[in-house]
Amino acid sequence: MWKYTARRIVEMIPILIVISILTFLFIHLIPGDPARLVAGKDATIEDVENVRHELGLDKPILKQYVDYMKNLMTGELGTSLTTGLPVIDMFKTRFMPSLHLTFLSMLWATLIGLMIGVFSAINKNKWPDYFGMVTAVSGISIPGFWLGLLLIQLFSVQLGLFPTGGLDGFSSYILPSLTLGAGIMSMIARFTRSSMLETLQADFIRTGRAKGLKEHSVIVTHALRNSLISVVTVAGLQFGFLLGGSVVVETVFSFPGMGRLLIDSIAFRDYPVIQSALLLFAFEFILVNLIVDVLYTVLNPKIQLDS
Amino acid sequence: MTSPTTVQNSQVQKKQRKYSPLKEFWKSFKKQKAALLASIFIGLLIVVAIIGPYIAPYDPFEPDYDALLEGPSASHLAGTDEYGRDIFSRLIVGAKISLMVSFSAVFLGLILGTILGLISGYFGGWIDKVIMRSCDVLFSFPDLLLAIAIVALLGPGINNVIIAVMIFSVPSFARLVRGATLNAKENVYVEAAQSMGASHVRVLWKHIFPETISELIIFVTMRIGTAILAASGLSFLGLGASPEMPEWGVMLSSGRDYLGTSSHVVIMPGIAIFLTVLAFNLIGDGLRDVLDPKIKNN
Amino acid sequence: MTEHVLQVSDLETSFMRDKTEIKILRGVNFSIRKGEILGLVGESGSGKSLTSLSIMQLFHGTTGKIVKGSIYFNGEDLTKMSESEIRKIRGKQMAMIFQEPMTSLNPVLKIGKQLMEAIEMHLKLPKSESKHHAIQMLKSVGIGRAEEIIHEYPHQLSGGMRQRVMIAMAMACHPNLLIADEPTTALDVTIQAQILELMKKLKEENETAILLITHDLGVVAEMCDKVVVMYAGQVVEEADVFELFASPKHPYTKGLIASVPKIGDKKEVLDSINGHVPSPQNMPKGCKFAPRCNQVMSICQEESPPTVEISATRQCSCWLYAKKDVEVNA
Repeated sequence: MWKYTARRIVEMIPILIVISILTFLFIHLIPGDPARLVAGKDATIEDVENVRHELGLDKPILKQYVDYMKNLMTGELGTSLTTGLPVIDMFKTRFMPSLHLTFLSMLWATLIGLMIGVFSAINKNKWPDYFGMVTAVSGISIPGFWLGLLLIQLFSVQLGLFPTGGLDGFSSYILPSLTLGAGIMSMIARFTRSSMLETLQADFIRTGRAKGLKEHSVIVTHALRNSLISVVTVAGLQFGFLLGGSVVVETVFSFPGMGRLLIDSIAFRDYPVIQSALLLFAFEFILVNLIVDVLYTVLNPKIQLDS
Repeated sequence: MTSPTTVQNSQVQKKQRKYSPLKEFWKSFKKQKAALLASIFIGLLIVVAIIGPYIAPYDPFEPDYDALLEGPSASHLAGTDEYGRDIFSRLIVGAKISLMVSFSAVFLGLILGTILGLISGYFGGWIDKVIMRSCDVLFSFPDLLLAIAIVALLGPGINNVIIAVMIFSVPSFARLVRGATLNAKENVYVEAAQSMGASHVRVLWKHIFPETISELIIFVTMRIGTAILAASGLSFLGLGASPEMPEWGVMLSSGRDYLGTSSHVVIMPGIAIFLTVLAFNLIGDGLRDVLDPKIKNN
Repeated sequence: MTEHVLQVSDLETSFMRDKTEIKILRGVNFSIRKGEILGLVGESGSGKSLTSLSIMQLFHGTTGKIVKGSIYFNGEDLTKMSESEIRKIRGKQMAMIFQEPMTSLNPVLKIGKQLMEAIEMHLKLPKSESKHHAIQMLKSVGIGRAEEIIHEYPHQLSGGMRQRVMIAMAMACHPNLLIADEPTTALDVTIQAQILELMKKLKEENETAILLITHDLGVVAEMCDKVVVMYAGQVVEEADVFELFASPKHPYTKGLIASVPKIGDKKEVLDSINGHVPSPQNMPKGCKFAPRCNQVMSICQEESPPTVEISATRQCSCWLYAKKDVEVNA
């Protein structure tokens, strides 16, 4: 397992380098003169040059990149153009809420999704199956921002059960994580169902029944154990969906997390923040993918021994 | 070696081959009731999108300060918004926008992705490596975030949304087509064609491409749903269409302030998005049940 | 008189396809005595596998069901039992092994776990004892390093070893009847011989009756005491193994035996039976084998032949052996 992990990390490095280059180039890829964009439309030429010097945009591009990478290594992510605070401090306050939200959403979505998927598979084409699958297909079709607003309307405004937004204790996590998890739960339910249906066709399931095992043993110990491997990996890959979805959900609920920070900074053209946020998101995503890959090799006995 | 009779026969066979699989497909597809209903819905939606602006009861841009935020009624089927504009008319024009944006983005992504996938799979070697590595880089950003990043770069606006959605679709298409190409390459009849001197392009087009079609069709259908969600999501976030445009996502965003009092402003565009995406997903599911070989063999 | 472990009478099984019922087994009759090895022979499509699934009632996930007939096992009619009652018998008094050892074992569970499952459930032994029992079983099927195998996964074993594990699993609770559906077809010839030897040995030690399903006449000659020949969902001939090979009665049986190439026979063209097994939806009227029979008579195409008892150990469903008061036109 460690050899495989090490190999994957090494493979990751070129991608990380390319991504760092892309995020670095971000400010340069924007149509127009970045210094002018930052300085504003009414800025004088002198102002623009000052900004250029401040941002280090007057140095040769290679030196800029080297400086950028050096800063990254030391955790120096620049200064926010809107708040004047170091970017890394802004991240510190925003990161944990987002992480908690993501984690909570993933937890309930995976558990419920699994249950619905298994239940649908064993009751194929009967009522529980239809119900489960209708729910699931609706879950992947519903726009997250709409679902969030509907939930706010129902539970916050009309029933007054939860806050409409912000971060004020655990109850602030409920509606956002429901919204965020809906799509994931649906995808996991659908995938679990098809994976289980496929596994249930396998010969070893017949062997299990021939041994006289109780049906729930056959389903859980034999079928589910097999399907679980692929379901877990699929669930892990949904994490990307979570990251993107969190931007929308945090906006709807005015949740003080990384997602909303990204949107706000785009609105205010706070380029240092945008750059670092994108880099962070990409890094998180790659890291999770790596963990999922390694997890897959751990769970799947066939692969365990080949590597 | 190819005598006139063999060519003739193969042409006759091709006509016959084209005839029955399509019929078979339609027979099976008809049985998928949900997908069939969904197809009718989308058909109607497309018709509405095309002739919509001409049949809309009101001008979607014209405000009516006497009828602000009115709930659904006989005169305004979906109510009015904060400027008194008829929501139903705006939804109709919004259909055109949503369909146009998602179709363009997906089909552009399809074309680009297919070309890259075919080249990558067929030629292999360093071309393959370069293309796949680039896709990996794109894959390392979650879909929506990549779109946000691109729009952040290029600036807001509907056209940039199309570009952004197109870009994040390309790697998936490329990978799909590449995989299918690799599978098809293994097939003996490709070797046979090559040994008869068929040119690369001919082999690609006539032999490998048809294998990938059913997977592509399913994927494209599901992707259109994703594209609509992404595009309206971007607009909702203020990164896409501008607020006067009757785009469904933007309508939701501006309607947000009136959530407690006139929730119809939020509910209506949401229903539109939901039903449309649902319909595409149902069609995709129906197609998959019909075309997927694993399921067919049961 | 040794009592019958299994007695199948008039068994009819059908499947549903697109809302129509398709009958596959059309009245199967045979019985097995304690300690006897019965060979069930036939081509693909003859219904031999389905017969075994019907006995075990393993119709889960399919539309198959028994529509008529009885299956007496140790004196009780299995067709009248509920699922939970049969579950107690499956794996305990009646066990089955399948053709593909590769896929018949769960790839993500250890061998020990898969063995111990049934032991713990049926014999209600605590974990340590069941583990001991599992190791014993593995040794009895000729797996030397049983203690290590317990902790391994199926893909780490060879095909022959896997089949031995399957046999160990099946025999773990000392069943009265072992149903073996083409147990050696997927194995190399040398391994085949070993597995068959093993089965014979276990039969002797445990007095287990075996229903051996196969299309390989060589295996039949080697292993079986009695043979039942099936065609198109029916039994066409039943005989003692020596009698069957010495003087086959049914034209189908004759054809089967003749089509096995014999060493020393110089032939240009191998004998085969013309035509193919009819599909269950297109069964011919009268005798199902008539279209392919080289001794067909006009009555064969009109009516299904009765089962004629030629001797105490011999039965045949063929008009050739029916009573002479029937009009026969050659």
